[in-house]
Amino acid sequence: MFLFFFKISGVTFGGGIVILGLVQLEEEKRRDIDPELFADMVSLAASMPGPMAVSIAWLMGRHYRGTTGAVTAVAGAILPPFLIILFLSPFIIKYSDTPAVAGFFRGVLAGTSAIIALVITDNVKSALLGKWWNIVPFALVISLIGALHIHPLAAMAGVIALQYFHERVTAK
Amino acid sequence: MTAKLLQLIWAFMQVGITAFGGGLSTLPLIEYQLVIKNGWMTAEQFNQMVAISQVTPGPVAINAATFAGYQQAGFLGALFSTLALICAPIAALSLILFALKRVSPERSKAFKLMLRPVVAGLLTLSIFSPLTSTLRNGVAAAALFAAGLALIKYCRFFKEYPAAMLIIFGIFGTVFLS
Repeated sequence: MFLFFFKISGVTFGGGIVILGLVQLEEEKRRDIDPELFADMVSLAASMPGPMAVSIAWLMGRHYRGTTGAVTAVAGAILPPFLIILFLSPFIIKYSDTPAVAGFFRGVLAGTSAIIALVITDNVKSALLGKWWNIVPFALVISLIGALHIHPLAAMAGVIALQYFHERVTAK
Repeated sequence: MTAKLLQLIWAFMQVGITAFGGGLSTLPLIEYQLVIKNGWMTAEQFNQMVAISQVTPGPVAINAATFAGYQQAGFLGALFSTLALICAPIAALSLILFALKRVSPERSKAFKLMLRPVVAGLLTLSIFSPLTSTLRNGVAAAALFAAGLALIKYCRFFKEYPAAMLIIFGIFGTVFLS
């Protein structure tokens, strides 16, 4: 279990959705989990807060070996990124002001902005299409956190509560 | 030292608990804690950290916790920040599994659907800082941004391996943006 997630986590850039795809691919090779159960796990992991890699590792580890399995799976998932950043941090902090390193980061950041821009267009389109109401939580999150600098904990709790009540009212 | 560790733990627990959607949508939450509220990093340092997290493996939130923790309080800071970040999702999962034994897929799906516009809002916020900084870095950086849009959209290789594109852009940056 540890190795399973250590391997996946060590090669996954970006995290999030990407990791779910890889977990699924590796899992299909092993074929020792009911596909329907696995789909439920993925769905649950995606609706929980926190990095998806952590949630899915916890759920799968728990499925195979209970709590011990869950802990080892999560350890496997977070150790590679943890060790890599730990190793790089002293160098980054020391050299981040040198022109070459700063230039490298500016280049990477330009590319990152492009990636985020494309992720946003895909995501926002599919999230807002269909229901006009969806624009309310969308705009609320942006204005509360981005413009008013409301504490994200409060802003998120408020918007999610609003969403929940709206769902209940419209369901009736 | 202990006070700093506690501050880090508290900051990253909050990030963990609000990090619905994962991935890039956590950036505004991390930025709030590190730049706006605690002032541990300048906007520029934050953007560098975002860049690092994109060319190293692992979820961006974990990369950020490890890096910010190390920067503020060395190895222990890195360790405790990372652990604090993951304890929230684990607690949430354990709680819900304890309460419901088995979560029906319909319910978690409905909840996920409800979260979508919220996550879309967070994602939209996440671009402000890297993009404004890129545009401020001059014409060459803006051109790289435009090239990135085209490459990811139309080139299959880079769509599948965006990190490869970022490294190439980084090397470009070393030459033209330093």
